[in-house]
Amino acid sequence: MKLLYSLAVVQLIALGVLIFQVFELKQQAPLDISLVQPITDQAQGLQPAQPALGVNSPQALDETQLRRIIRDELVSQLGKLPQSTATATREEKPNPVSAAEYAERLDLANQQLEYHISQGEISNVDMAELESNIARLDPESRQRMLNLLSQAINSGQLKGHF
Amino acid sequence: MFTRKLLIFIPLSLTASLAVAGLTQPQVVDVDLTALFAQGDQWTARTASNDTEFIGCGVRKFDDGAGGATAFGFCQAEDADGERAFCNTANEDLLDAMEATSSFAYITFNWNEDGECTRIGNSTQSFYLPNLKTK
Repeated sequence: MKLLYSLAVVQLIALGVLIFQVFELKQQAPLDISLVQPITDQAQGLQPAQPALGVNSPQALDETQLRRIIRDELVSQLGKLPQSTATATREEKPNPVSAAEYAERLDLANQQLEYHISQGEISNVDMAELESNIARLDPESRQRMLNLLSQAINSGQLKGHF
Repeated sequence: MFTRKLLIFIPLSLTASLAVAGLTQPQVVDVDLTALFAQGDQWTARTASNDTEFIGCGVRKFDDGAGGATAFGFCQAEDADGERAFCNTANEDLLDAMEATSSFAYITFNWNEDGECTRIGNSTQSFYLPNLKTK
């Protein structure tokens, strides 16, 4: 029981110290020009970097002045960026499939379809393979092959599960 | 006493029915090869007394190897007379309609002479649900 009381007292003291510290921080002065100038000078290579931001400087700025300074600094930094970065556009991916390869794929798909039509039916496995080959065609050929497949099914030439 | 209760319970259980009400409106599968039109609800097709009726749609998607996908879909149906319909599409909006088909939905579609789907429709209504009434 005594231990609990002791811990509670310690806790209260710690809270009191914390509140005092927060109060002190609130009383400190706002940022001033001495905190901004070192950045500008550093960018121009005129001065080495300054130590951590200080407080209580006699040259305090209001919020509007501070925003203007920061904006000017950002503009000057962005202006130094290379043009290629600023205007870079996404390169288009070249089409890796040649016309000759598309023609080969179309030939294969045609042969497959003709074979299965000659058989009158197509298994699920073979249909999956045919579909995959059709999917690898160029859009126009793909549509043409799908239409041929549809017509074969509608005419009763080909039976299968889809 | 127990026998009396049993004699009362057995006839009641044989005539009991589930408390399910509401409109039922089954649509048998119908394929019109002149109008290039098909319709039907899936439950009615599945529970038809013949071995031929069916209706449905499906979608296929393939990795195109370039970070995207190639997709196409199809709808098919066959009615009790053995008339069959099959159409395909790569139209994204029609594919969306196909993918929106629910389990007990009514499905309807049209196609052209090339075998391309020109219209996909589906409807999810309570009256297409199975009629669970028992007699």
